[in-house]
Amino acid sequence: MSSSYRQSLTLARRFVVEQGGEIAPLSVSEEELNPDVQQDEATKAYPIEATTSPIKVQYAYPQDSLCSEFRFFEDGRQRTIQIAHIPTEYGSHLLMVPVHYFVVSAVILERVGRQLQLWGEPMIRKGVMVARSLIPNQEILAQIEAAGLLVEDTESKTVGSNDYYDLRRRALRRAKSLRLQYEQELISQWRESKESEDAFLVVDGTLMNMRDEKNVARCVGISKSFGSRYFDVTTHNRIMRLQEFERSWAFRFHADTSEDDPRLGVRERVSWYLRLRQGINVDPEFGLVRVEISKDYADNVGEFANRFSRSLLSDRLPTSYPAPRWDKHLYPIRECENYLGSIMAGISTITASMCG
Amino acid sequence: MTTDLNNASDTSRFINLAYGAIGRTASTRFEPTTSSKFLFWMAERGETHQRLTLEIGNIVVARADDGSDLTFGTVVEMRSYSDVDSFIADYLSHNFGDADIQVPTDISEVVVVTCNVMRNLSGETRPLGRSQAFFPSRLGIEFSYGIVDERGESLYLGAPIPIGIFENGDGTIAPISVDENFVVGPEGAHLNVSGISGLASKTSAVQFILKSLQAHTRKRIAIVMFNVKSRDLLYIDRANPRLATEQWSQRAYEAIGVPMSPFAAPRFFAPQNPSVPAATLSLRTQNVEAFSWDLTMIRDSIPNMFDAMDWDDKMEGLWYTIREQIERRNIVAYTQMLTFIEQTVQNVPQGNMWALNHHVATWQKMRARLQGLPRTFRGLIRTAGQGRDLPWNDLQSGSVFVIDIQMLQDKGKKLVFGRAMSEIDAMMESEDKNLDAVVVFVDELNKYAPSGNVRTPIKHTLIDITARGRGRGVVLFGAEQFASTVDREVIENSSTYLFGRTESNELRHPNYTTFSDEVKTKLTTLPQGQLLARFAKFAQPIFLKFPFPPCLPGDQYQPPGEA
Repeated sequence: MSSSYRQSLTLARRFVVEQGGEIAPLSVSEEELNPDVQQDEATKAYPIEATTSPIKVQYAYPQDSLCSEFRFFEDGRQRTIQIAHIPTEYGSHLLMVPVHYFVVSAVILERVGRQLQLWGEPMIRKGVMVARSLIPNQEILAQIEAAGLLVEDTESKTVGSNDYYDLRRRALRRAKSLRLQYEQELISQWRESKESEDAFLVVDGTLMNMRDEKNVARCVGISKSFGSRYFDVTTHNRIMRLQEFERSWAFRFHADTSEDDPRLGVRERVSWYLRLRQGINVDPEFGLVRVEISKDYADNVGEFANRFSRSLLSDRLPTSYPAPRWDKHLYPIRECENYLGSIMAGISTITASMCG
Repeated sequence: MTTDLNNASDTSRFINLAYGAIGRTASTRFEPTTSSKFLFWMAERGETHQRLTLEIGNIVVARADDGSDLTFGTVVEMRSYSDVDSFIADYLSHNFGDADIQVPTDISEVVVVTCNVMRNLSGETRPLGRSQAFFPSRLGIEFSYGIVDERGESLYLGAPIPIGIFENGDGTIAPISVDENFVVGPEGAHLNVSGISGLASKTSAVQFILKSLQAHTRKRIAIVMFNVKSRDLLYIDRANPRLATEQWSQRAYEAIGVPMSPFAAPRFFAPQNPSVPAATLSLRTQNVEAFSWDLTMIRDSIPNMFDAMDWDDKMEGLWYTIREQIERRNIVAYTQMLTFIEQTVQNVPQGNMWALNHHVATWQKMRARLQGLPRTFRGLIRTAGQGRDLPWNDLQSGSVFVIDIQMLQDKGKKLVFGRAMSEIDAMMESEDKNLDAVVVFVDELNKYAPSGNVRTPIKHTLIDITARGRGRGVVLFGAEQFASTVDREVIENSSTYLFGRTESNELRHPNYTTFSDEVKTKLTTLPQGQLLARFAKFAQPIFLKFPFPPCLPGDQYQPPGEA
């Protein structure tokens, strides 16, 4: 265990003990308990290209197997574990305030030749999440923060209650928010760097969460799971029946008028589906990814869709087998995950540190 | 002066910092670091991801992140891991079995290096913590083998005797020395070298080590070599012409302080040629001194010259009768002994089958066998006239004797070698000896001390000498193809052991169980000029290079007129 983790975990434990809390770490993270919370997708889409038939990507195998233009890959991870609860009196009620230990991180890998290496410094933050105002002894909280423990507030400032379950859910959302924030910071650094000129960054997952449009304009988001059907059943079935090396028509996630968009354009992205590989006796989504790029490319989206699809088809090898969803998981993205996994404290380390 | 472990500049003396870190140690759930072993993953160098030139047998030093210790280890295993979980995963990664496919991203791979702990700076026995791995400096290498202390001063009580050059993966070279007191006594003694024939490694290595011993010893040492095949040792008084052009060897001789010259004034001996009394049974034609033994010289050896099957109680009884005649000087020559037997048999009265209390048949058998010995031991037995023994009393500090027995049959070789060992042993037991040690080198040691239950007089002598010779300065340098064919006690009593290229079958023998599979694999392909050395005071064996021998290899000798 590195010294920075040791210090952070020691302070977290001290914080709980000195607040009169009870150390009671869970053996699973909030992310594992509530995987759906990380989903964030639009509900309606509008075709830009004709939906009548799939589009064959100009990708010749095996001659084009090294044709990928992508050199940069980004991913972020978060781990939020309830480590304790602090009983506190709130009026005539006794509240249980959950305390979470969190680690969020983000990394960009650069491909030089055929080798992956770190680009810049990965982001990593760790600390505890707790409803600040419910902490009984604010003086101790201040002391421990001064000693170096990062404390994030999970209290609702606007709507919603502060009961035990709400605070737990909010810890998870706060961790996600922090992760996205650090991912955005890292991507901004990359975008402003000399190395990134004329390059696109392949990002794991949707670009819907990105608020900085300058970043979005330089990213290609790859979604591996889809929870929504954006077109009528017949049209959507054409997507499900895409053949290897075929892509769908491009579409956008809101109409030309902003009236239909409840989030006022923040989800405005251009997207298409791409079949990376096909198999026998596999589900309809086997090898199917959804690619997202900035709305800035809507005018000549066909050109970009063909170009990026070609690169992604090249990057379908090597596979990430036996990782979950290996059929659509790009290997460099999995290496981002592996790297982050190696620098983040594991659940067993966190829970064991609390008990120790 | 003791090393301050918390002072980076102090510990840096042991590390090749200029080369940079070569990896980091890691202790995992399933492969933990122990007090005798540590593992590290190997770094890649530069933007080209160039692999380090680390290999089995290299020495590394792990510097604890908290500065608490330096731990030296020798590389015994290297494993390459990728994040490919199974063959099916890699198969899929190549588009379901397309072996020609090129992928845009190389699969992540890491080489994990296992090291056996040799020594640490703190002297404490404990697993190391998180550490950076480096190549050690020359001081670090010598320290790791316990050759020097932290200050670089010798830890040996005797003179350090270089036996080869260690070349580490970063190119650092260090002469590796053994303690004279463990080579020629009194703490330990004897050296053994094994390896397949034909690479000229064993003989060359021994010649080099003997030269090194001569150059560095503080003792009075004489050398006796037996030339058992071809011209191997017959030109050790001539310079090796290859040294004039071979720069690595030149640097090696300079580095270890050994003169690059042949042996000075060796004397060559060979059995007298019975057909041409002025000549010898040697392939060397000049300056070879003849030796042969008359009856008085070899009377004690005669029982050993018989086949074991022939030597029974009756023969032994009769031999005592004959020997009594020799001791009384009634018989002084070999032919006289045969005549005595002949006459004794002839003088037996008709109808009587006994003479001097022995049956006539025994007499006749003895006569027949003794008549055959001069042929079996051609050149060694002088049947008439005075013999000339090897001048053991001429041995003095710096003397080198080469005894050429390659033309003799195996029995003759054993007789000469056995007698020599006994004579030297007797000489070194005497109180007025003028030598501290006599080093005897013989190739094909397995002929003289074979493994197994075979008990022969010469084997018994060798076991006794290797067990107790270190105390009186009788030192055996033996060589053979396969260590498993030599008696276990002879091998185990050797303080220094050198392994050349060795066949895989041989490596299954218990002698090699301490080596990892990868060290064994390296032994099967060891190039000429390299050996694996095991020394009593080394915590781990070490792969060594040695230069070309200082003297002309016999197989490169060209007789005058043929050059």
